[in-house]
Amino acid sequence: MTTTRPQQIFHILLLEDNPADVYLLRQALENAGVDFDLTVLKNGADGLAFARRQGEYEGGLIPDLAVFDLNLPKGGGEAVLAAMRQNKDLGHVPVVMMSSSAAPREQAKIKELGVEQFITKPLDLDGFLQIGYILKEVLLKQATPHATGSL
Amino acid sequence: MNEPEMLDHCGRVAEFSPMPMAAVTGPGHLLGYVNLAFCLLTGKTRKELIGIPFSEAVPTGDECLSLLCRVYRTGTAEAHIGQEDPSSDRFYWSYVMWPLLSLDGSRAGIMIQVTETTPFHRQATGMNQALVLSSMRQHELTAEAMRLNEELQRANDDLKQFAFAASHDLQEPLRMINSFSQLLIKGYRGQLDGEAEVCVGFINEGTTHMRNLLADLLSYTETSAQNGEIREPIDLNKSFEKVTRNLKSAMDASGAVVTSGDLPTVHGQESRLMQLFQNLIGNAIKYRGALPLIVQVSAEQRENEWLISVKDNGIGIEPEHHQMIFGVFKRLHGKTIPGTGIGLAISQRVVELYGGRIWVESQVGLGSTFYFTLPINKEKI
Repeated sequence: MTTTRPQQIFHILLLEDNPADVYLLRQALENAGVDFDLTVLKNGADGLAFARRQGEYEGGLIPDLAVFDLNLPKGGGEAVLAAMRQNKDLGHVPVVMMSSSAAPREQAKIKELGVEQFITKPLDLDGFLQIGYILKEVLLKQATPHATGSL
Repeated sequence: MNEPEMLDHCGRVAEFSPMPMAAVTGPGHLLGYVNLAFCLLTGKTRKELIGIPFSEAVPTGDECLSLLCRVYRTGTAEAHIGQEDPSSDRFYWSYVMWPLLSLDGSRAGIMIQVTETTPFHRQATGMNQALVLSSMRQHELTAEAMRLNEELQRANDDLKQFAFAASHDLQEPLRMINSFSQLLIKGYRGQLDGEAEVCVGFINEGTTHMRNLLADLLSYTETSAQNGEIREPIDLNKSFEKVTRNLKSAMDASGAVVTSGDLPTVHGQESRLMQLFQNLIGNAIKYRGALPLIVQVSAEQRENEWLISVKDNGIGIEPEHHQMIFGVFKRLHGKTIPGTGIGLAISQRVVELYGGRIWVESQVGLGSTFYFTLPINKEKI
């Protein structure tokens, strides 16, 4: 098994309007021992601009992982995901979708757009901290095949 | 038949119709057309009639002059039943008038159909009109009932949506309270004394209970007829078996003996029927008395329905609570016995959904028997 270089910092894009969840997700990532820097977008409009690389996001950073909340003001995570999948620079970025509800039909629709994981936000802290490990796994899976060369 | 032919044909229908018919044109309502029956009725030739005002062609012409003017003005069809003439026992003439449109849609005149009415006919005409009116009223009532039904359906859907949104949105703050109180403890472990942990324990207990309430509320609102719900024959003997397997640990812990007689096959959704049994048997276990608990499930065939009973020898229920226990979140035992108070409310919904009734007979200290009925008619929806 290849070991990840300890200095690797993962760029994570987080689309989340609830600052409490942003805080919890940071805790979860730290708890899982992920070195990361987090870009937080708070609404769907910003998310769409990012996904289309428009305005201030033009030519900006390409994240190693995107974490979307499904329910957002000004357009949900689904629209942002769809837009991102159509962008040539961002189309391949792994996406983890989070939601506080888990309507199965919604999930099926979103999985078609291509997501690594669909996570229903756990109701207790321990469950939420587990998300850190799930994200870490997704990051390492992405990083392993072409770890050399990046950075 | 092409259009001119059709018009020609229709023209001949009017011509040879046994109903006296005439057409008038212009503000003076001058006769432009009369059919044979109209000539016979008035006793005048076509030559005599064409070109004279309608009011002069018929003896009761004045009566319908205002009607003619109105139809000419508004373009709306109207009917007029001739007024009875007390000085004569002969005939009364009734009229139906409707606007005649030319091919380009402009108003060309008025078509008049005359009905000769004797006093007897008059009665019949009146009855006919009453019938028409009553059937129209009936139609309105049916439409009203359908509208109300739709409204009810909409209100029901709204309520379901509301309950879903409410319970869902209320979960969110609970999640925050839960997670952050735990985070507080985790982050300050060693700095806080044991008291803080006890306090957080209470916070979590509260939020957990609230969460259960919300989940139950949601499942209660979801227990209603759904479009396209699949109902199939369910062997209640098998459902009973599955339920006793689900409740095995509770039964073992309480030493309960749960038995059943031969149960029928009914139409429904198995998950719902299992929920019904599970709630009733689960309650019997929860509210057991000092005696070793015995729960007996049995069924009895009645004329159109099955009567199914779940009998226990538990603590029983005071008569004044026999109705109230089926209400949402209604509980009799506070925190001494855990629960949200939704089980019987859901049970009632399930039974009523399938066209049955549910009730309890009980004596305090001796036990309770919950009865519910399910229709035997398989096709009943």
